Amino acid sequence: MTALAAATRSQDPEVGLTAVAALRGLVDVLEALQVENARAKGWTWKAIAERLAVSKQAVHQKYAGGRLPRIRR
Amino acid sequence: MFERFSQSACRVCDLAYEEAERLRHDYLGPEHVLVGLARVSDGGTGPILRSRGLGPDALRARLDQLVADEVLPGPWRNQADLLRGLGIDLGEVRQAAETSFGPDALCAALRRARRHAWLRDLPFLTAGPPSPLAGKALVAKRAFWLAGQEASRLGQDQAGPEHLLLGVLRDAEDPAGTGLSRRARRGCAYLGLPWHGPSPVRRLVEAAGTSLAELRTAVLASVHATT
Repeated sequence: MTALAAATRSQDPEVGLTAVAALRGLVDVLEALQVENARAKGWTWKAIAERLAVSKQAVHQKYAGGRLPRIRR
Repeated sequence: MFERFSQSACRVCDLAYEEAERLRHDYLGPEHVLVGLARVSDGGTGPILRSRGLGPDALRARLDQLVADEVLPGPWRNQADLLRGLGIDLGEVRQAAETSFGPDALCAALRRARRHAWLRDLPFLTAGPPSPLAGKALVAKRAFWLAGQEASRLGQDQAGPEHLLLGVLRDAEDPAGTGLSRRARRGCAYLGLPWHGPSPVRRLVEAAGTSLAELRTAVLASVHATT
């Protein structure tokens, strides 16, 4: 495992980039989990957005809404 | 899909999972199911495969060869290992998330994390690279679905190992990536899987000197002999 840890810190882009993509997949899910929890506790989109350091529109667009695509007119 | 699987078919899936774990793969593919089918003791699939040079040990050796040829992903791609390399224990993260929010919340978050709302309810891999928290990607899904179709065609409610083998063989007839969207192919590429060319199962079967059609007739003959 130490060899693998060394490989991750190594300069091989293939390993490094794959590790970063895995990390992003992890962060995305944890973010969704926390946003869901905050909404369930009655937090506003604005308060959530402040903590995530993004705009309230961005967090609303990403996490609000139902299952069907919005119909654009 | 799984509710129609018989007990021994579920046992095959467990064995396939073990094989995927051995290879440190982040997905459950038809090639893992084939090893499970060769290992399972009840049902006629083990003897059929073994008599054609597709026993568990031979299959494992050929799978290792495919990994060495870079047809199948190498063990370095395992997401848990990569994250450990960055100092993150994936098991601990999952456990912490599940104990504080519950497993249902984690499943909901996995669906939520899909970038587009209209992709959230689509089956796995359709929304691109899988999250490491999602467990193994079900690449063998098409083979499982075809197994159910074979069982219905033979007039049986439950899908057993024979039907699973028929499903895996039918799936292997088409090139890798058949039936996948462009986004799902990108997910395959991320996993290090081939998304075109002969499927890994076809390579395994043909390396043993037999063919998909020949195996299929043998399985069908054994099914008709028992009923």
